[in-house]
Amino acid sequence: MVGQWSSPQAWPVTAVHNHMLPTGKVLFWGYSDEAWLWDPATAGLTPAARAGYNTFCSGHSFLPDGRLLVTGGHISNDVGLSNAATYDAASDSWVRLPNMNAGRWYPTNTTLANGDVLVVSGDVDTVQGVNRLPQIWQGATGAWRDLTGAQLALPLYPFMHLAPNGRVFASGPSQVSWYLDTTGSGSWSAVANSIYGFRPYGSSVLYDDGKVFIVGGSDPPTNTAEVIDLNASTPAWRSVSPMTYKRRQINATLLPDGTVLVTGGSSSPGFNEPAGAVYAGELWDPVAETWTTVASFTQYRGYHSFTLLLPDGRVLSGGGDASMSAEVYSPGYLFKGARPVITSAPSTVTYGQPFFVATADAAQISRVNLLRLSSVTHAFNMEQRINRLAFSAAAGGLNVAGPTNSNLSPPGHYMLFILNGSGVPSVAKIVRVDAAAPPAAPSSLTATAKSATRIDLTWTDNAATEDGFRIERCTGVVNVTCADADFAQIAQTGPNTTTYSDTGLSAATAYSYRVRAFNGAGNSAYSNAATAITPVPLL
Amino acid sequence: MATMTATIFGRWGVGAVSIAMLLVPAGGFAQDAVYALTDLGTLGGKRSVALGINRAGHVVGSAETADGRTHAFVYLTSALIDLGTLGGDESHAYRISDGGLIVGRANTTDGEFRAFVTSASGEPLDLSELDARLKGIFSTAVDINSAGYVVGYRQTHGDHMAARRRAFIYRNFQLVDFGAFGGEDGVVAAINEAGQMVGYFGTEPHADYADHRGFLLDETGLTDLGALGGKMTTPTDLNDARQVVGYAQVSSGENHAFLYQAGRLTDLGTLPGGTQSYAYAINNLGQAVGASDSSAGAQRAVLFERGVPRDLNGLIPAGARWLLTEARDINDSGQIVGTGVFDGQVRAFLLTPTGAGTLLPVRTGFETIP
Repeated sequence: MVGQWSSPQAWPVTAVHNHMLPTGKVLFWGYSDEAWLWDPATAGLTPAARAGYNTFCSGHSFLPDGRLLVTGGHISNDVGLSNAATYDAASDSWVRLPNMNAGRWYPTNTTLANGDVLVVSGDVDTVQGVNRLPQIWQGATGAWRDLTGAQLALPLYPFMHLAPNGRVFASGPSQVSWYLDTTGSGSWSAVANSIYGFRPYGSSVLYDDGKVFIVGGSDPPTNTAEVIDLNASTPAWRSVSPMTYKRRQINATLLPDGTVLVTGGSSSPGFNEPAGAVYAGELWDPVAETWTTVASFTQYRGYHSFTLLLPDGRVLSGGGDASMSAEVYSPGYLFKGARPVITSAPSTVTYGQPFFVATADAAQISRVNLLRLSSVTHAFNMEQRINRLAFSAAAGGLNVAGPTNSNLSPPGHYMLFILNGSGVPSVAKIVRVDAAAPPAAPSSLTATAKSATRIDLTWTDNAATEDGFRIERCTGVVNVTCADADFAQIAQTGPNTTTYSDTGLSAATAYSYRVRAFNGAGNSAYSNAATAITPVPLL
Repeated sequence: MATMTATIFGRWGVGAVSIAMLLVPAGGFAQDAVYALTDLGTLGGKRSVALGINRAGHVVGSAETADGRTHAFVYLTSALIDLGTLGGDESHAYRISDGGLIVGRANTTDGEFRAFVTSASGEPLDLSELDARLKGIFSTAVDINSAGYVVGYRQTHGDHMAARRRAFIYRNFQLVDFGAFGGEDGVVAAINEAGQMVGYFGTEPHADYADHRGFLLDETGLTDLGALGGKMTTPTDLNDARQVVGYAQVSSGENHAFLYQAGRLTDLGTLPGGTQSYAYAINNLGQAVGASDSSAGAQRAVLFERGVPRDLNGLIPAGARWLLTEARDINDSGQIVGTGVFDGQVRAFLLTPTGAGTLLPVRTGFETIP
């Protein structure tokens, strides 16, 4: 089954920069900051908030909380803005961040394992050339960190992927592949040379853990493709079967079943030649490393076009200079029978923690895959990646092992797909993958003396993720506040406990208490302190 | 780019600036240091970059201010002087003539960039005030010679699909539009004392990041500089002997520094183990500077001697605690400006020959290239 394209839908701008938001809508903008939202459920278009400066030619990736970090932008061709900002889909609002070191026109963003974002490349202007200084947006400090030891001229919109070893792999489009170590002041090390050579306006896809696929590009265009396995002791590029069609200005989309859909582009020499438009899609199977030609669309989608995977398993394709439209591709797996259905799944998944996916189709499920939400422009998706999760069938659903390695699954939002044995995916549930956080602090602690030797505590449990509570006591003097060092832990409870009786106390003595919740990620903040005085025993 | 004569625009009243060598190295000279190193500092922020130096050793570039903006600066003898903007929040100075005139781009209150000319003691002059054709969406001046000829380019339309870049030269109070040199999109990079220019032009319409060809424009017309295996050749400077330097894409997609002279484009190579190099300036003694990576990965500032790059980090005082990452200009006294890393920050530097060492012959000998 070759799949099927919808009819093109008129869009208000040429969609150059496109993002699959955690809200389930697609944000896009073109040659300015005129931004729009597209709803996959209704195909409805609504204006979005504008950044307030020209975000054309920017870089972008998602922060762990789902906000989109946008870096650089357009002043003139080859002249970039040093601006940075976040877009919050929940509130449809932009917030400016501190400027970067200099302008960046055509930079690439890469979200790192700790949720910080690496920004590389992008032109400052025609005199200063490309911005050599890699910078990291640090969410914890709200500031840029300069990798002053790693200044290097990279191609514009370089293909960058977070690798299993925590370094960032630059796979192209130039022939030399690099690792960037972002620790300290940063450092580069050469990894390997690709075989074909320079692939401008080809694409690169991280199609499995540590496995990268580069395809097409160049002038005249090439149909060649290569893979590299970064898990090998000495990674090297290896040629795989070529596409049927030579393509430049292509789009490559990672699908829920792990295949890669290549669409659009031109076979003709030149920068962006509509006369050589390739209308047929091609699907790459990463296991057999073979290609299958699939359905064609009807118009040229070349320079400034895009594709991205939707949560419903379809692929949105649009843009291209002079093409203010988009269309939707339904891959062949949507024509292979009933789809499994996720009845419910958690909205947040914690590293190392199993989670439950409710589905009536558990017995048919053969794969559970996470696909990161896309942020794509200029033939390169800065975000897409796949994580294949272990699972077992259980009553009413699936017990799924959460991702364990943030180098393989950087924190942020993913589409959770379950697939049956025929490779048919469910509609995805969008989940946030993040590190476990300490639980919320308890509050409203009260201490009541029940006898000369017993004080009862009560508090409010404000957490849903605690493993229990730790109770600390200070034996002091009335009206004298206990210092931190005066408290000592006297007991630990299980989860969802809101009372404790402290016994064996001395009469006529003041006792102060405080409580905090805990889980595997650490302790919460303390509750308020509460004090009670045991009475003088009656004779 | 170094210039030979001292004619300047009288209009801005800047007069002839001193050409005395007033620069004093910040630290003592190491025994074998070929250059003394001066930290040019910042404008109160974290970073600075130096891009141009004139015969007097006056330096221009841009630096971060205390409130995080980027402003053009000039360095005469001590601290950086903030050259301000055209009402906006950002400016960049690229070159300074021997007469002390400075060119670059600065934005206005509405955020649009305009070509400007200024001096250490004057207010930036918006060149679009002299010719309304520069009042488009973007204009920039990129170089100036001693005759006061300013070259730059402008963007013609705000509409992306219609936008083109067209080069201009401003002289004798007249702006001459050079167009796009026969291509779709024209950018000028430098002018020498004879008014000869280098730049590049794209051949594709509606292409932001397209192939382009480098050219030399002289009295014989436009000469295509050729290529080193790739599709982009980007000249950056030329001297009065019409030696042109720049960088050109090689087949791998990386750039290599080049020298063009007498009709021949020569790859200047990289430091050992490197993959990329850039030449940014050449003086009238045939000395060129730029940057190259090496087997160690990151870029290092280089001097091109006898057709090959040489790491400038080996020529500064031992223990300087600097990593020089790129050299951007060199004057006829051999002084070099550029950018390095000091104390974890990106900082502008000035190198001044000490006279020590035997490693810097006056004529470094591009003429010896076979």
